[in-house]
Amino acid sequence: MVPSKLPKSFTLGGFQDPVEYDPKHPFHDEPYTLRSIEIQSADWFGKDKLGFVKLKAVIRNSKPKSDLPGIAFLRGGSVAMLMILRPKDSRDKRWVVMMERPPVPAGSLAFWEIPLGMVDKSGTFTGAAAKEIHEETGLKIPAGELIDLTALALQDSRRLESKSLQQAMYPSPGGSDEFIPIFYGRRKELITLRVCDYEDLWREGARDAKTLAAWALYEGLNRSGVIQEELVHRRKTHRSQPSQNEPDGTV
Amino acid sequence: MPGNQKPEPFVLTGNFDGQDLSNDCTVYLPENGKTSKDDVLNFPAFKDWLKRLLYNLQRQEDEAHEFHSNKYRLTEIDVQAADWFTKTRLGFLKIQAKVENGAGESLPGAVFLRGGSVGILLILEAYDPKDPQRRFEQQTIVTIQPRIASGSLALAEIPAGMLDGKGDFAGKAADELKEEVGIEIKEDDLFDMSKLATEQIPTYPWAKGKTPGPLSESIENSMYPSAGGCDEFLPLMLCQKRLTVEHMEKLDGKKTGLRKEGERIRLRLVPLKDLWKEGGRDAKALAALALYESLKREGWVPSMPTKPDA
Repeated sequence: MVPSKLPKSFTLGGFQDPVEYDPKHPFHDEPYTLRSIEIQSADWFGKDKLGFVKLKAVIRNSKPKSDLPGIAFLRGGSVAMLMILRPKDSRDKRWVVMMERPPVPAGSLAFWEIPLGMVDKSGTFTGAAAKEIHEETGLKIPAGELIDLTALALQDSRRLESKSLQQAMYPSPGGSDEFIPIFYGRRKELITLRVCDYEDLWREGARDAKTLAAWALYEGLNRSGVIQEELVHRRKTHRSQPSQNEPDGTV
Repeated sequence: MPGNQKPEPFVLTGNFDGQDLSNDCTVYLPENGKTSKDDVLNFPAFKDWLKRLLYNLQRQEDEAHEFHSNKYRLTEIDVQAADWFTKTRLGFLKIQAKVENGAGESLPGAVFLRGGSVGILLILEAYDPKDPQRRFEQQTIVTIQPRIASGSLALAEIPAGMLDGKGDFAGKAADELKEEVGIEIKEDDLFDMSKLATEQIPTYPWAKGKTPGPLSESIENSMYPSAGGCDEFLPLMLCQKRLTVEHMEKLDGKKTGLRKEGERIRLRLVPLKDLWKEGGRDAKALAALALYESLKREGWVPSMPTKPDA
């Protein structure tokens, strides 16, 4: 294994936030710096597409034994979709579109969750779940029709570093870079039979982080009237607005 | 281990730790030779994951199982990388599992193996000894620490860690809570929200269109942050405590974690009603809120204590 150095011209897009130069920053007196990165493994999807990278980063300040935990499982972002169906004849009943998939890491062949996928360059929800929905119903879901719940919830966040973090949910920030914006969509027809009664969603989806997170964001934004405001705003503008913060994910 | 030779693969056959294998499975070890067969087989996260997967694969033998006519088989495990916490304690494994059926269809097999942990929704309410009946706005505690994987030095999360041998909350967040806030979270203080929500909800791969039958899988009664890539599961627990008004005020004004040199974990008070926004990037915070609100509405959540711990 031959180590290589990053060329001086190497820049990381978007990471211009000079947080470490802020004298009020807790680490200002003893800033941490990135010393080295060891790429331990890589998983390819087919011949050309790099899927996951596992690495170990050495990040320390000038004090001895100051290393931060540096293991990272890199996989980039995806998107989750809370699609609520409210058939006209069903009064107040709401259904949520669900998926069942066999995630080997959980050792399960039947994990119940809200759909997960990607948003492609044209702004359409894609991936295995989207494909299944399309196969069953003929429906394609443009991201412009969806409301980005995570962006709405985080827009007032005054937290340090909000600018350099995604407007998304992080499933496991200590071990992975994975981030998942959660979108909300609604339809008046029952488009698929693989649904969960909204009243049971928190329980039936209680093993799945994104399902519970989607519920929490939807409830919070709904109760505070933010979703209604957003829907009214969209009706006024009379066209689909592309969602501001979907990741630049490619299939 | 003799220095850095490329290790030989080995085969798992018959049964693994009491769980039947329906076919042989070849296991490859990391090329750098620093992780042995015994290291892998004794790693608790590996054992738990493999036993569970094998058990759930075996459910396919039942005719009603969705995959019965084209069963998936685990044929290979490639242990690509290992991370050691100390010279003797294995922390994480990164593996690629080959799980495929007779029709050449395979399941995504990349697994970041790390085992389970625990997440705590800690709700605090002030207590005025001069006016013991008075209620205050409920607060919660978030931790802020460097999270290299997400590229952040300051992402707010609810406390996470482990339960030690006695069932008490342990780890860096627990230590910080004890040192800076004077709170120790013991087994008796914990209310397991995940278990209550999930234990009546099995996962069952029933054949499409048929009603669920008795084919329930082995699965944790916990939350899985990222089931598609990682074995990690966390039961989300609730802990509710009263602190004197004085104590709460000190906490509110304090910036914990800065007193000690190199202290990297800090704590902050956040009003419970704002956690969904202030902790909105943290899956466990949002998930814990979802469980807390729903269980509370159904009357399952124990009441807030009427006074501080003795």
